[in-house]
Amino acid sequence: MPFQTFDFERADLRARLAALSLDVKLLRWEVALRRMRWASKDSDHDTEGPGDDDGPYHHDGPTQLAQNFPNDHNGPPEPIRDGDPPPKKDPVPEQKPTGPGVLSRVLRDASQAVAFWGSIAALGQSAPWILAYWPEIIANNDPPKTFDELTEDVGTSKAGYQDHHIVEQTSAARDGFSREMIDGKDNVVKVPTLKHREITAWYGTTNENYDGLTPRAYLVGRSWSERYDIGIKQLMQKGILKP
Amino acid sequence: MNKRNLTQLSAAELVRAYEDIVVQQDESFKNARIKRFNEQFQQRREISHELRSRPGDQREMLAALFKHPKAWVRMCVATDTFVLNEARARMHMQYIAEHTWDPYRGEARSALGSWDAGHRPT
Repeated sequence: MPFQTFDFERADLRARLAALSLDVKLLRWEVALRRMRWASKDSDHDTEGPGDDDGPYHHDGPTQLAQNFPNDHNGPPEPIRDGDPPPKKDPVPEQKPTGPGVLSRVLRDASQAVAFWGSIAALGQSAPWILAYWPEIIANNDPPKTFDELTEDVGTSKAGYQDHHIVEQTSAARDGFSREMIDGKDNVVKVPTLKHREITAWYGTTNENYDGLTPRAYLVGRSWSERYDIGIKQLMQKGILKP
Repeated sequence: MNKRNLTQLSAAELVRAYEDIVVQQDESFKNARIKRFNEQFQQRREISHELRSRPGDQREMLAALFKHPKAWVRMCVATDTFVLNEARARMHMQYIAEHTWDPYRGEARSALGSWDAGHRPT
């Protein structure tokens, strides 16, 4: 078979076009995220509009709520210094973390940095390993969806998302619920991967509100409707399902 | 941390021990180290129960930690003093649900939802 010369010029052009296409997609994400931030802004800032890039949270001084109340431990707290300062612009370490929990934390921090700063390009400049996790990072900033929207892609492969059983499947199967119920269309939704991990962790951590049991242990022997009710509320509380 | 050690501590020392363990638990929580988190939960519970067992139920001493900069510490205090002052606990938890980032925001919402559904600390 005759040897065919590789067309470097054509390959180079294709690579440049692919890079440009990615840039356009990233810019579109940035715009969408900024719009999302503006839409969720505090109502105390009704006069501020798309030109304001402060985001939904105060980050340059005490919050409105704290300023209106006396500063004691029976009133609203002092301005919080942990959790509500703006996320770091680039919280991604150069080396990929080795523990799965730490990796999830970094991805969550990256997701919040994207949501707050509206800049995707900054991330990963010194840590290219993060690029493989773009789908998880972007998906974590999805606004709450309707139940129908969450069931749309169940059973398909969608980067950044996982199928989630509202009633935990292993526990339900152990208690004798049928696979038909467990895998039924009302019990499985497509959720962002990072949020899925948060929910799974919640079920497995001991909780004073459940008599010191994990919610998973608490639900052993409980009815399907109680399990489902708790599962649905978790989806709402984690900002996945619209109330 | 064993029961005999806790009985020998003053209330102020118990509050400091509580703060130490809850700050460590915050790291476990953020990094999803569930086994360690659950162990620290038990230690936190022992301290809270020791305070409860003291004359007049001295868990109110934990309320000083509502000024703590870490959201997780304030969430734990809200939960562990819930029975003493539900309105105050809700107010602090609501603040965290509305004014912080995940994972605290989601956890605070979960706690408020649990309380509304009747799953409450005792």
